[in-house]
Amino acid sequence: MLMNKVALIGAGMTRFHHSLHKDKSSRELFVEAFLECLDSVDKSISHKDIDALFISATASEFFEHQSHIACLLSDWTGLNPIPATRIEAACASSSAALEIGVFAIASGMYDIVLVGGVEKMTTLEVDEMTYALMSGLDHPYECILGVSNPGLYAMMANAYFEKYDSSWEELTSISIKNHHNASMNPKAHFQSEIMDIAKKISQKKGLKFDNEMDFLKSPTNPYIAHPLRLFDCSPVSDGASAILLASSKKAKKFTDTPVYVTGLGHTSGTMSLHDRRDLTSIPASVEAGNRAYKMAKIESKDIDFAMVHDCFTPAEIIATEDLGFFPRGEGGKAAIEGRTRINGEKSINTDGGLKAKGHPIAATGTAMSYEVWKQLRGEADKRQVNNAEIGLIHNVGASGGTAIVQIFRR
Amino acid sequence: MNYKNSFSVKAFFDYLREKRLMGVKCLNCKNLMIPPRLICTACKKANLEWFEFEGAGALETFTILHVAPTSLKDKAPYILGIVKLNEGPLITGRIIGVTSDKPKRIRIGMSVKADFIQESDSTILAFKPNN
Repeated sequence: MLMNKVALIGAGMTRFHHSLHKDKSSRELFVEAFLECLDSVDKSISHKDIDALFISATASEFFEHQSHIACLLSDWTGLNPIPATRIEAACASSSAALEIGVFAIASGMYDIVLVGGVEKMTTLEVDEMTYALMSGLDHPYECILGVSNPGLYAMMANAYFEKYDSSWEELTSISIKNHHNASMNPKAHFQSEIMDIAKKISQKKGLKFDNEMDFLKSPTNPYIAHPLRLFDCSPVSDGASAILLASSKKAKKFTDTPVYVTGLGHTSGTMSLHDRRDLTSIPASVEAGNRAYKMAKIESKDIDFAMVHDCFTPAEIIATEDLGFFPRGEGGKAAIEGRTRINGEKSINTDGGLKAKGHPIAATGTAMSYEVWKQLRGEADKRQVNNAEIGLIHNVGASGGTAIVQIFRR
Repeated sequence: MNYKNSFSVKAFFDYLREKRLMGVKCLNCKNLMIPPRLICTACKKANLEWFEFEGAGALETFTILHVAPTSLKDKAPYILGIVKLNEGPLITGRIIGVTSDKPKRIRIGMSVKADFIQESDSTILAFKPNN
């Protein structure tokens, strides 16, 4: 239990993109997110109000030969001499940073804490980037064999298809929906429907696609790790996100509409995928969800909308089952039936998800809470979920070695 | 060589070079584990002994990896799988003896046996179908 209630009082993020930030490094990206975060505070805030920084960069040693990045970002944001600490949990890094920020405030140590994440990924070629992100897997027992992150989710997908008599076609409902949601999100990497992308490619290459499926099944959508094709995978993006946390006592000084953290669930699972008896679920996600629901004193049915970790399309299906939104084997069918659309039965990945919003690894967790912040304050424009009161984020490290679920309310 | 007393990553790979698939057995609860560990995943006791796996099992799942890391770029596409060994535990390996251009011929549930392949400087675990 938390000794003191903690609120979000500000949120900022860069657009996630593969070329827009070509000339920026981690420091410029994070400062951009930080400045927007400061601006988002309704009654204004200044540097001297901020007591500590917990920041994530997952693989900056590979991408920019830069460690000691917490100090660097504290320096570049002008927050020196506050304590600055880096938190790393692969793709779940910045939601772990947010959690630590909450603990730091709940303990009574600090009143205002800045948390966030940044990843500058496009410095490397695809094969080098693939290798860099494989450092989040079990090196001797997975990596050496050539197992990549898409490879792990591809193996989960094939196990899922076998168990539930499902197929790759089911996965396309996830990418189609998430591209649609991202088309309404000015921060998203892709801001277009899959069909619009297909039309653009067809014009350029003189090809013709009758519909989305025709495009998705074509060689223009190549295999990354069978059965997963390019459009089943989150893109490689640069980006940063930042969230300001405050004790509930102090929060009102900065805003009349804070967003409260009400549930935290954080678990570790087996590092290797092969150490799980059932490959169609991520046990750490199930447990993290249960812990967060228990702390928030709610059930999965009470969640109005959720950002779930769709690094690859099967991951969204598995997440919606692990979090109890849909029964086992029915997550994909629910998506096909439109039950996970914005203002469907359960609005999933209203921001476009990792799939279409982008996935600069360490920026993802707090970018999920950025969307929750927007939704709960009624600022999500065309993506707005009606009467959004309770939002959830679900952030997974690699294949499920880490799972974090956080619940927020108005 | 003294490595057999140490349930380490190095020992696992030293055994692989000898074409032996070694894990551990918990002397307290009989739990079998591969790769070797230092603490039993079931009862959490640190009372283990080496256990040799036969290397036979069934394919639990697989993927054909097309976009590979730098060191394996020339080998792609290659097949990876998780195998449920007859003794119980699951382990990841490269799948050989089937071609990646015919994914329909790779079946979940098909019986496979361990093989040991040499790749650059190390021996890696592979499985091939039992025909």
